[in-house]
Amino acid sequence: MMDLTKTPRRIALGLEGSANKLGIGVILHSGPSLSSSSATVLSNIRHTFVSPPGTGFLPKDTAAHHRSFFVRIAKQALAAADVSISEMDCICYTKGPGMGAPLTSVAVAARTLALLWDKPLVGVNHCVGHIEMGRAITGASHPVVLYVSGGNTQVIAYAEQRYRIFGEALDIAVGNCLDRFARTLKIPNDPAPGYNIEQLAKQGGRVLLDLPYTVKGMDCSFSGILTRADELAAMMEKGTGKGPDGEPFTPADLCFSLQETIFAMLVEITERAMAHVGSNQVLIVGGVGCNERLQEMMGAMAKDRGGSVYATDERFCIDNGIMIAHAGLLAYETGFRTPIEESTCTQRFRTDEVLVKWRK
Amino acid sequence: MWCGWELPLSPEKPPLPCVLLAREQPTGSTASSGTNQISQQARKGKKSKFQKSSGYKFIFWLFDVPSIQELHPAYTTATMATATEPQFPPPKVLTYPASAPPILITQGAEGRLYKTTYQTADRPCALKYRPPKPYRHPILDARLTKARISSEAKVLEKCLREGVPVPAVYGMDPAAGWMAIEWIEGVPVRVGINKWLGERPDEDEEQKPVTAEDDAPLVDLMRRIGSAVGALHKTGVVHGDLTTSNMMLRPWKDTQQNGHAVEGDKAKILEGDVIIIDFGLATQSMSDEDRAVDLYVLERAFASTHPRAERLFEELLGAYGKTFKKGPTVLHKLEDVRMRGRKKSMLG
Repeated sequence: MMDLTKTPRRIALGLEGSANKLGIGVILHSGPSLSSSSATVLSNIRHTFVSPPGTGFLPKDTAAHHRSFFVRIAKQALAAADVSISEMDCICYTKGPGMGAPLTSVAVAARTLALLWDKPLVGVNHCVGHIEMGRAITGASHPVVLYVSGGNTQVIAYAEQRYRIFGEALDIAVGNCLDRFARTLKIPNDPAPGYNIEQLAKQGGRVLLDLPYTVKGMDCSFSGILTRADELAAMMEKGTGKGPDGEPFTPADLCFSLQETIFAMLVEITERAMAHVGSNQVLIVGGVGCNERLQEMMGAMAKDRGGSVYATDERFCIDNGIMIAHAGLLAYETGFRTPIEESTCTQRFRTDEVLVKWRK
Repeated sequence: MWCGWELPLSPEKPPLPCVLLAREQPTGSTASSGTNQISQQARKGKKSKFQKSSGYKFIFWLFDVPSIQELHPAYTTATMATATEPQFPPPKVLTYPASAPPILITQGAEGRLYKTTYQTADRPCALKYRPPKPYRHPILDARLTKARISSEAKVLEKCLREGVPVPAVYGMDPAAGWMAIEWIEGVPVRVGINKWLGERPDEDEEQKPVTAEDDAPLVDLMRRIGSAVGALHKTGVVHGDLTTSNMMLRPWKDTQQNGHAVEGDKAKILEGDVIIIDFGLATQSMSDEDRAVDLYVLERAFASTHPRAERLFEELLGAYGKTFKKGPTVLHKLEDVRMRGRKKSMLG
């Protein structure tokens, strides 16, 4: 096999569709070796399936969305990147974890392109994609990673060729808790339910409503909090809800209290992991990582420990194709390939199952 | 029933701590100074090692370090380089004039551990302090700190009452975030076992395995750990973070060998009472499932901390099973927990 690290330019196409975002991106790695290569984003196009207020995105509808938009978005991404197909080294797609139907639709598209253009396929773990993109963008060298999204809540640190999970949500993911609460309050899902909760929470702050706080060691749980928040919302609807100050509370107060509680839990488990591995860098990735209040709280914790927080904006935090292209290309450079017969996808794919050969 | 330190009204007057859960004086004499109900109740109960032992000197403790390191053996001490630790101002309770200045022993994720003295200058005590977290909403922060200090003290008090060997609670102020507890003499069990294993000639795979007779003192220690954990579970307390770092090996006094024969200096490494510490994650539970998970965490931690002594874990479980009536049921449940593993398979 040709030593790819010697070639000056390597280009990969990344296809992501594990949830309601269809993302396609093209990345360029230039430079002679793995350690000194630099990554350039050539294009990063995304299209989101938005369901009406009060509803979530169903697998069937989301898969239909991805199928109908795939060709359009792929053409846009290739045009924006301005590279020819012959220059492309490999096609990277999300192998998992995620929702079955959307994953399948994108995996089928990835196979089709691979056969059509005669390019090798690389199946990528979605979580590893987030981590690698976060590291590449922020330059954090050895951070503790908090990965928070609609489907995942994990505190991760790297050791011995694996991203090890130190703590995680025991039931629903933090983003799922926020999304479902947005449904309860009938907050629009456009651009994202979490974003709208964040904006509403900025108007709150008068009172802090009492919600359960469930941290178990480095793990945490969100379903009980959601149940209580839903109960409080129902009381508010009926007009029987009273805050600690005796005044009725508003949706803004609820959003504020929910954010303060669940983000405090996330920061607490992250702090524990940091104390363990002796790192004072923390990197936040995943859709919930866009939340400025979470970034602010994490920053306060990191400052207290003499460290700093690294976060990216919505282009890289929210699911995107470029992160799949980047992580896939890193694996490709170490010789990793996914033969077409094995180019399946899976809903369950733990972050620590991936052998991270590209890091020391 | 819990009381804190009586803080002085004028700065020149030293703080006067109130006695809580009075214990026998550390002189080894049988004269009792404890007059409150709790210690009397404890004395009426079964005589435990805890009540027999005495002595309070010492200097090592691990505070609030959960066992994840053990769950991920890849984290060796080398990769666990300490982050540059900033200097902290001590909590208010430690700022009053005292003959011995408080010493910051360790800084965990949750709080800090200080060594100071209690009542008299020659009686050391450990002060656990949970500082306010700047990132947390002040109301939420106050609520959590208060609840955590109180719950830890309640668990310790329950153990003491039942005669389980744990540090005694001297005083606390949940609102201010601190709790003063007995200072335990000795070294962590982890250190003792590693020292014991370290003194053995290098044990390569090809060499003959060490026989049970060679390890008699270690086997004995494993049984003592099993009994200590069993006693804890019997009272309805689940530790939540059992590791060999969270157990102290408090040396026996030379005058009272507790019936154990002296086998030269090496055997002395593993001598002592097993005192379980750091109840920061403890909960009160009588369920077999919770107890089995507690044992599973210890098993995993033990296997990764002391891989060379892993085969002796059976001894610990054997002793555990004999400690209380439901012991065998818990051990049966442990097999289920092992099959399941602690972590779930990841959902989408």
